[in-house]
Amino acid sequence: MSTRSLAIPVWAVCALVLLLVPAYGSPTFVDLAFRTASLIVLAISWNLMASAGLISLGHSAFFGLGGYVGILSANLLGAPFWLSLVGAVIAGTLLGSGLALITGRMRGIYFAITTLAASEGLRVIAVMLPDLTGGAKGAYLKAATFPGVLAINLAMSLVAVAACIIAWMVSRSRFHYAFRAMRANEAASQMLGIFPLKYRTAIMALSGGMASLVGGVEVWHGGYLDPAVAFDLHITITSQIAPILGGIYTLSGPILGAIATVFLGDATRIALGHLQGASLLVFGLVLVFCVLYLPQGIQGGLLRMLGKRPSEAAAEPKLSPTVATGAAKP
Amino acid sequence: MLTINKVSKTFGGLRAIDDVSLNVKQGQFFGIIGANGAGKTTLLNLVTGYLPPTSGTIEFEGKPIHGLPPYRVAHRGIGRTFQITQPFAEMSVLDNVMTGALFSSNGARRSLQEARAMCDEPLRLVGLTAQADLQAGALTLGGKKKLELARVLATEPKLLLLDEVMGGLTRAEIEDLMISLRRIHAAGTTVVMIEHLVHVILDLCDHVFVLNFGRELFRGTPNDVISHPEVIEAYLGKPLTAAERA
Ligand SMILES: Nc1ncnc2c1ncn2[C@@H]1O[C@H](COP(=O)(O)OP(=O)(O)OP(=O)(O)O)[C@@H](O)[C@H]1O
Ligand SMILES: [Mg+2]
Repeated sequence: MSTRSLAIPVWAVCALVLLLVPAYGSPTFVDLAFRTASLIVLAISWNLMASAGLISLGHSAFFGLGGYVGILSANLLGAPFWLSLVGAVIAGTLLGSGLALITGRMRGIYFAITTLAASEGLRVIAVMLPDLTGGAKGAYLKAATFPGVLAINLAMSLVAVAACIIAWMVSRSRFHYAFRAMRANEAASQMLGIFPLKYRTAIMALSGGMASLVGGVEVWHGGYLDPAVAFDLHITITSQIAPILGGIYTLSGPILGAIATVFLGDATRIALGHLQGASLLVFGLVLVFCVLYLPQGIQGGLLRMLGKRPSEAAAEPKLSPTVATGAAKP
Repeated sequence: MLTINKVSKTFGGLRAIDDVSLNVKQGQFFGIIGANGAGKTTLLNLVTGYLPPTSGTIEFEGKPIHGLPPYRVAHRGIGRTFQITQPFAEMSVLDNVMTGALFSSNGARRSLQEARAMCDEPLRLVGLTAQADLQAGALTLGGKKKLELARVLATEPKLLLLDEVMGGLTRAEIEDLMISLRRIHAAGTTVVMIEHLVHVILDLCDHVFVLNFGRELFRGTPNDVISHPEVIEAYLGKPLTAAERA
């Protein structure tokens, strides 16, 4: 059997495990699965944008917005779990498409900084509206009907599986061609008829909706939200560390990377738990290691071990935030 | 088909294009020559919407196109290759060409399979069939030039603008590409070709426009052009020998 025909059953089993753990796993495993599923979605979301040449440095903006829409719709409007998630997706989609329109033709570092500013701006707004958000003190979820821990854990697993399927569908569509062309050279891609703004808006809406949905589920899981938790730099960093570690621009990269990142984070906490910021330091070192020794991530490393050429999409990854700033110099 | 009317383009103090008017008729094989820096590429950038003209108008099939962004110019049926090749380096040669087939004005209705099926012909015409699965970034300069052409052919342009597609090719490749271009033209595509290789222009074009310091120097048939004293002085340097004409 070739590795390719093996891939589908393997992924199907992984998805099944992820869906079964919330019901049958031990508490440790349930928690691990929840955090892994959460990061898988964030990583896929970040990677989707990156695949179109859009490097986000503010994924916590989507995450935090989703969290606030979740908690506010439940507390103020009495929205049930599922409805607050719909609200979170819509909010993330709007923020994503709004950012796409605002950033227009911005690329590379300029785009990245705008996403960073969006996240910071939302955090400041959350702090400055204490009547609504509880301000810096935060707020507790006071839902009229609580769906139960199992439902929340299961929802996160479902979202992760759905995100994988969506990413796979995108990779088999015309979007895959537009995104790679735009990433390589947005100006030249226009001469083939690609309207970059259309595809940017689409991918940022999709990506934003995904990341906000994670925030929405997480707030029901944690039951509490404050601006520092919602717009945590840690979210932004792990969302991009995971795909880079796993294999940027690939399908399995964000998944493998999310698993590795959760593992790394836990290992660091166990080993160096008392040190403030130790996990960020470890992530930084891992990132440097990847750039130097594993430019195609875990996915590329695995393929090489299996004696295969890494897929075309992963073959020439560029890891700097200024990815593909190259405008056509005709 | 393409009407450029009193177009100028200034970069700061430099008049890169100075009051140029020209008219390309349907079915023509139109050559543009001129020394380095004469403004040939700038003219294509104006037509394809990469630069706005400082003054003047540009019409395609009777409708103005100046001010349109490049993707809309492309959707009108104008295709263009870049002098400095712009391959999508991380994509395969085939995927590069498929991108052309997918996003042209007819491309929106095509499935991936249909787009894939359309790529064989352009790849064959430029001679890249054997390299279809190679990464575009791995091609030689000549290969990248051919890819530029194959990719734009997949958009099925009515008007094809070529910016020195022959640069970096070997003699044999040039011969092959000339045959292909003749075939593309015979199939109904109007071609505007910028080229430094005079024998290619003489061979292929039925009309030649000479640009000099952003201004029109002369226009006419290839034979008029190479025997025109001003063109010889400004561009060719010396009269062509019989061997060079061949
Ligand atoms: N974007 C730009 N900004 C400023 N000056 C420019 C720009 N593009 C072109 N120029 C200048 O305009 C003039 C014409 O350049 P252009 O590239 O059109 O020449 P060309 O005829 O294509 O030359 P070549 O044969 O070398 O390709 C040159 O002096 C060039 O430096
Ligand atoms: Mg030029």
